[in-house]
This record gives sequence, C-alpha cells and structure tokens, in this order.
Amino acid sequence: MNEPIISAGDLAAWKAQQEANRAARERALFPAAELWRRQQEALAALAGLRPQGRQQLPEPEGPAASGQNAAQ
Amino acid sequence: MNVDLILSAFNRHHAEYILIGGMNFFLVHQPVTTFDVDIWIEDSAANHKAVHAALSDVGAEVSFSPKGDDWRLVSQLDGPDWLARAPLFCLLCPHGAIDIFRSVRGLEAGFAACRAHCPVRHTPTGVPFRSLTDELMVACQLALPENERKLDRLRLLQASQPIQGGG
Repeated sequence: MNEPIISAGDLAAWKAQQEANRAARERALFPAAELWRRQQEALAALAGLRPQGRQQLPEPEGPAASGQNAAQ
Repeated sequence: MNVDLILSAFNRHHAEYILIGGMNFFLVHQPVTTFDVDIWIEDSAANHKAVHAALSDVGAEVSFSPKGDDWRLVSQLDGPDWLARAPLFCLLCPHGAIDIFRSVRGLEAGFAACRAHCPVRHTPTGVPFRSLTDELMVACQLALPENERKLDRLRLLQASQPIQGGG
C-alpha cells in the first residue's frame, strides 16, 4: 500500500498525470460554469482584500477558461 | 478558493510548510491567475503526520492511480505514510486545489535552509503563513525550462531584488 508510486526521473510525467486527473475530478464535481464562477469570485475577493487596494483582475486565459490547472 | 481555510488548517496542526507558487506571488505581489495552493512541506515523518491531519481537516481527497479513478478522502487513509509515496501530490478539497511538494526544483538547498530565509506573512484577513522569498521564487522560475517560465512574474521578481554587491 505504501510503496513508492514513481521512480526517480518520472516526476514530470507524474505531475502532469496528477494535474490532469485532478482537473477531470474537479470538472466532474463542479460543472464548468460553476467552476469558472468560483475561480473568478475567489480572485476578486482576494484582490479586493489586499491591503494595497483593489487592482485590476487578469483577463481570463485559455487554460483558465477551460478549467485546467495554471499554477507554477 | 478559500486559501485562509487551507492555511489555517496547516497552522492549527503546526505543520511545517512554505507557501510557494502562484498563490504566494498573488498574496505578496499582485493578482495572477492561479487555481491551486502550492505548499512545500518539510519532509519528515513527524511533519507528514501534521500535514495529513491538516489535509484531513479540510476534506482533501487524493488519487494514486494513473487513471485518477481511485479518489479517496485523506481522512479515510490509514495514516500519513502515503505522503512518502511520491515527491508531490495534487489534491482537491472543497476550499480549492492543493499541491503538496516534498521537494522543489530550484530549491535544492533544502527545506530547512530555505525556511530560515522565508518570512511569516499574513493573508489580507490576517492568517499567518510562511512565504517563499522573492529571491527563492526567482530561483524556482529559473530552474524551469525557458518555455515554462512565468515571464511577467519573473520580471517583477527580478526588479524587486536588492542590488547585489552595492556599498
């Protein structure tokens, strides 16, 4: 059960697989429109609460609109 | 996404972590599009226990299968040993997506050495978190292949670096 899942050198493939699986899970749990709304609301809330004041939100990008993971 | 709830759970269980990636940049510098919370954890058995507890608290679920067809709540796993099975995991919880890193490319000095330079900052609502420094964020970006670097982010970070070697 707790043996290593991947060997050294497979990290990039493992990361891509984990991200893709999570994106699929997220889409299954939350319909796309709902997911996009939740993301934008979160961005707006965080931007509005920043001590430096409100800043313009970034324009939606392709990966964001399709619900893919965009971090790092 | 509710980063406050996620970070609060890690704090509550005294997990050793450093916030990295887009959310750290977002909180320290400016809004960027990011859809997960990237967390670098101290890679020790004791800390795995704390991280497991925090992830259980937030209702996180994880998959170990290549097909992603075995999602399970962390709280239903036997214990924290699963964290030792891979260098990183991409989890999902009701408050947002969480990436757990046991090591980070570009930060080969290791968790303890980097942690010593990383300040505790606060989210806009006052939740404390240990935050990767600008210098180390640059190191992470430069460790990526050129076509994967976030150039806007890199430019801002490099512009904010103190001038080296000055009097």
